[in-house]
Amino acid sequence: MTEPGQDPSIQKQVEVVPISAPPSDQRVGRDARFAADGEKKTRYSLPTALQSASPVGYRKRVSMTRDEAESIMPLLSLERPSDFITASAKITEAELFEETSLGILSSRQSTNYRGHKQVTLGPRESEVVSKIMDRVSGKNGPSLHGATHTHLVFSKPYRTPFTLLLTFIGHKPVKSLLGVPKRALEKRLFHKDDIPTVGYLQQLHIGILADGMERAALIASQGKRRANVHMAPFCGRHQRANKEHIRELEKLGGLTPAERQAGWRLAIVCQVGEVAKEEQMDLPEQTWRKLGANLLSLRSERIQPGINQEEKAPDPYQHRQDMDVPDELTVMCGRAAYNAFVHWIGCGREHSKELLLLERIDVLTPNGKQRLRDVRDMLGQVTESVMGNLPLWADLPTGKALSRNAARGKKAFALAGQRIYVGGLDRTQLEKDGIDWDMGVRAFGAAAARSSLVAELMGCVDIPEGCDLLAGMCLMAGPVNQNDIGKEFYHQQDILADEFPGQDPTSLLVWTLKAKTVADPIGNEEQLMNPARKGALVDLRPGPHEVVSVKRAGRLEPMRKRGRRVNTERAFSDVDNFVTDPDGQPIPGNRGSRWPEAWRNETIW
Amino acid sequence: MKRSGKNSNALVFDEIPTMVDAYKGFLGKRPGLKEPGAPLPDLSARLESYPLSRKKIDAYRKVCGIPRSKDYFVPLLYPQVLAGALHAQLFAHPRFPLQAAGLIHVGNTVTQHRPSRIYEPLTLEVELRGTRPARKGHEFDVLTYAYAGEGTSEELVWEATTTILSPQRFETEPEKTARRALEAPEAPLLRSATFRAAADQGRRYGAVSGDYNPIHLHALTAKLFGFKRAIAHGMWTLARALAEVEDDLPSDGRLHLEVAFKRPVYLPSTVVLNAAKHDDELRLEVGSPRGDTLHLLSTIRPLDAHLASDGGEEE
Repeated sequence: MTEPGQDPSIQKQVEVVPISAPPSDQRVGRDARFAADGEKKTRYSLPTALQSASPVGYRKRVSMTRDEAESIMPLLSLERPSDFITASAKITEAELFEETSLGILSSRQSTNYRGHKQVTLGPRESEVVSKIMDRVSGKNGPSLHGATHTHLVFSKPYRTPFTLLLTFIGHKPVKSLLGVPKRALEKRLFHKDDIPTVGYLQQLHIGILADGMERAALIASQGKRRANVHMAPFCGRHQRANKEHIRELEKLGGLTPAERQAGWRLAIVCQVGEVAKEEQMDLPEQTWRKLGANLLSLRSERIQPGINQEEKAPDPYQHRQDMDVPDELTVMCGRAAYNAFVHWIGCGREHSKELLLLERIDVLTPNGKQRLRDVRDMLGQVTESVMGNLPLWADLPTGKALSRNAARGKKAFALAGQRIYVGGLDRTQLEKDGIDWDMGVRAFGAAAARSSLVAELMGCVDIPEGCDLLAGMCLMAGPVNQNDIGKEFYHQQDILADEFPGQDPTSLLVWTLKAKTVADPIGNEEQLMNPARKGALVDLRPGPHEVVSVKRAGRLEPMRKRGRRVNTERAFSDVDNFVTDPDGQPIPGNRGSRWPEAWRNETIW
Repeated sequence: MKRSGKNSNALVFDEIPTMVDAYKGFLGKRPGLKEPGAPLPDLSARLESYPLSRKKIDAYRKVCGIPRSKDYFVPLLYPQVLAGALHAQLFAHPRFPLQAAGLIHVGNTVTQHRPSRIYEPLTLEVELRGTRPARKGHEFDVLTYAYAGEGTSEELVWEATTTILSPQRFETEPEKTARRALEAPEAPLLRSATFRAAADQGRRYGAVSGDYNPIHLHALTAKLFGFKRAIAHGMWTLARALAEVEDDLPSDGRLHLEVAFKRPVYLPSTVVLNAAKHDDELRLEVGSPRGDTLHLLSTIRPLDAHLASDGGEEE
């Protein structure tokens, strides 16, 4: 595959960096089990069942050979397609489902926040979109004609129980009686945020999704179709300049006044079409399928065995593993981050380093341990201040729930791990360059996601027998949210301020690269999907009918909903990477059931 | 509509009889069986050359989640839906000795010799067989035959045995009958999915099947018959499960299905379907998500494999 118009100084090829397995006696896997009869179910037990319309399900990573890993590396430095050709075949419902599964249905958001929804248009309306996009300013690249389909992604401000908690903080006990309702109203009516990083989360997620959509189109079509994704025209000053065009696009996507009032706005236009042979990506079918299944299996890996595990965690978590994240992998993760950033911002590679600020905090580098301690202390002080200042009247009605939430949050902010990146943007430099802040944050989200993907995929190369993975990633906004609260209310400086003196850093995300062989197949997925942790599983990952609509004959139809029947298919289920207990006993409902072939094979437009 | 006398042992219809007629016949005390295992009277009913309605079949498909992949074929369990009204006529017959209210559908077999087409009128025949003592009462069968074509060209396309329990307490518990037990799937899972039986599922299925048995309609009416809430029709649960595995059924449509209804599905609830394939046999298990309640077990085999293993021959 050749990359159209690729300048080697912009996106660099990411190279495979294998990770050495630990000594054989440390090669352990998680071996999660169901709670026995009469035994109390914990977050470490396998769920009793999965009731979900999501294509994801509980999955294990699939081992890839080194050759397979080499072959998929171009996906980490994709450029835009130069043109679409006349499609050789119409897209089937099944292909669209798989593309969507790798996009909006699995793009990592907090699982309890459904801040994105998608409307997918057929070729005729795609042409209308292309014509509107021709007139739009600030595009990430040229608008292409001849798309097989186009996804319009709408996004709304980030609102979760965490943001509800934020309504109550930073106030003095008396003042807050007036301040809280004022702030609540501003949030509701004007979509204002309590602290800036909460507003950033929405933009970060848009960037993560946009980057994922480029890969999704390729993987679902086995290399035939590519995506031309635009998000820059729909934020910042371009959003204001393109107001009329955006209204036209929102109308095509059926956005209602009520939805606009609730804060929904157009965030991404993703044009997908078949590309000429030279721009197609030729891989064996098995590699595409494996990759798709793997992408759905990747989840945040917070626990490092022998370091930050709970006492009650199962035995494999209780012992340290002699494993290192190779320095070369950390470099490749940084390379991928800059690849994504320059791709979405369109700036030169060297200059991007003045905009995207990455600090490595390694326990393996000089003074690394001290720096880690300092950061932890800094975040600890914020938590103590928040809990100390939380007005009692705000806490009482919810029976101390808010205090408990803050206490739980403390654990999540532990920065344990072997290689850590704290990433952020230089606000002043962005302004000087005329780059909209929101677009910078979106590009930053894409950069963090792509960087993480490198670590995740390398952790799947030649996984030894009995192990779950070799490396994983924990991508967190929590610590910087914490830091942001400190900045807003307690006069703290930004985490990145010491590392980048003379610049104007705003930290946005922390990502921790972890080398280990134990992965929790349920992990925080179960933790977040089951807030009560009582075993009654509540899957908050969306099903296609909940967030995706397909426009056919002028009507919006929820994807995979026929009568009361909704999707229970897990995408790429043929790879069979579903979690079982050590005896091979499956989680009821986890494997899913393939959507009827007659419906899967339908051509939609 | 009816061409035979009310008291005739062989009822003949040229239209589907209404359930209202049958429900009237359910009222009143029945004598019960003279002794355990006593035969039932030789009652039968026939519906002559009944033209099928695509609209009604589509409504049935929608309620059961059945894809319209082969929409010129009649859904596998639809003849049973049509036959339900005839079954009710037999239970309402003055000579039927058991109390119709409270009969429990405990199992079914279905043999489809070939899928019938929507444009083919069907002739249905039903007749009673039994009884035999069971652990919790008397069991008997209702045999159902569906024929396509007319006169000498009449062709048996579908047949079923519906096993019904008439609950009764015995002073001494009878020995277990030798009904073939179905086992839960042990082969590797082909599918494992959850589906929802909504609160109004009984009413929705009643509307397309004509079966307005009060135990399916509402919690209050179900309580009158000893159920804590309304329960789903067993044939809906089976049809909904079959809709999930439609692509795994024998492609020529010639098959033999057995189902045992183990525990009711209370409405509303979510159930898990596990489907596994072992050699030719597809095994379905529908249970609660926690795995502590089994609602139904079913096996489906290609008809030829079934006939070969049973040592029988298709005529």
